[in-house]
Amino acid sequence: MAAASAGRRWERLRAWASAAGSHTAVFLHTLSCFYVVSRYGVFLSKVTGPSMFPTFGGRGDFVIAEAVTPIWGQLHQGDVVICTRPVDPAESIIKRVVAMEGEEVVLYPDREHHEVRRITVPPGHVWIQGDNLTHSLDSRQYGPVPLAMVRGRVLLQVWPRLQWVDNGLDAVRQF
Amino acid sequence: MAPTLNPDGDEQWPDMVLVEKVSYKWLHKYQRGDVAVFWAPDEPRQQLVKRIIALEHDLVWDSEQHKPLKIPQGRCWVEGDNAEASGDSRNMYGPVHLGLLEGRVTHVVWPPWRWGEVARWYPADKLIVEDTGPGQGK
Repeated sequence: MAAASAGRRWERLRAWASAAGSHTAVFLHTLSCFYVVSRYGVFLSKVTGPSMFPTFGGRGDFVIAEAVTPIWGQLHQGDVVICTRPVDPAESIIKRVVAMEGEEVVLYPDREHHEVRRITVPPGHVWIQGDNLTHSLDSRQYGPVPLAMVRGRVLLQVWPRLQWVDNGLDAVRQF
Repeated sequence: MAPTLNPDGDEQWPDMVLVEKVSYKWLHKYQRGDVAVFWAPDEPRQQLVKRIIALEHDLVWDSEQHKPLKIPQGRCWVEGDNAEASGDSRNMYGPVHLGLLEGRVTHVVWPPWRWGEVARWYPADKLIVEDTGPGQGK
């Protein structure tokens, strides 16, 4: 009798281990798919901070961004992009591409610089600025950003309103 | 990166290396002496492999301008081990953004006679001053 019940216990243990194994496999598969999709496909992101006002309120807006264009396609002037933050690679920033490689940017004097600066955007880089120029730390402070640090191009906003994001320069030209 | 990698130049048996991405992508832990794979600043679809010589706030000697250079925040200074034949921070890119670093080379896995660890080697004569953290004055 002892041998039979030990056999049943062993069978239950094996069944449990097999179920646990397949659940773990499903879990790891799901995580991997999630990683690949969000890194190379589409991802959701939260916008905080005032630097893209009025395009985004910056108090909990959610946007959907795609990584296909920055990696395999071509970004254009006016695209709203999500990048790794140049001064802190652990953070992300959301800004608009204002100039592409080879274009010249004219910067007027500000707090740190006392003369007009003309900067040509080097190959492989873009010049990004927040739509809210007075409340934005961007390429005017930290210079052009390498394209490899652009993680996604923003497609649409999903919260608080569902609307396409205007990827053009009209939003900035009004000022 | 000769002699650490491809010591006989680009030939029949180029080194294949194992790159771990946890240190840079998740932990954001960068160390001087790491051999790092990173995206070329001027060519966003090309990866390069060089050694990290200095991190943000360190001082290195800029041999083009003949004066010390302080590495800005969020960047690092990379150099190839084969100084004569390497395009790196000294002569091409300047300080490289830390966000471009993709992974750390840990081992050579192929060809079999090149198996081995790629050591974190720190050429101390290239740095002038190492940033020792906050609270050290200006």
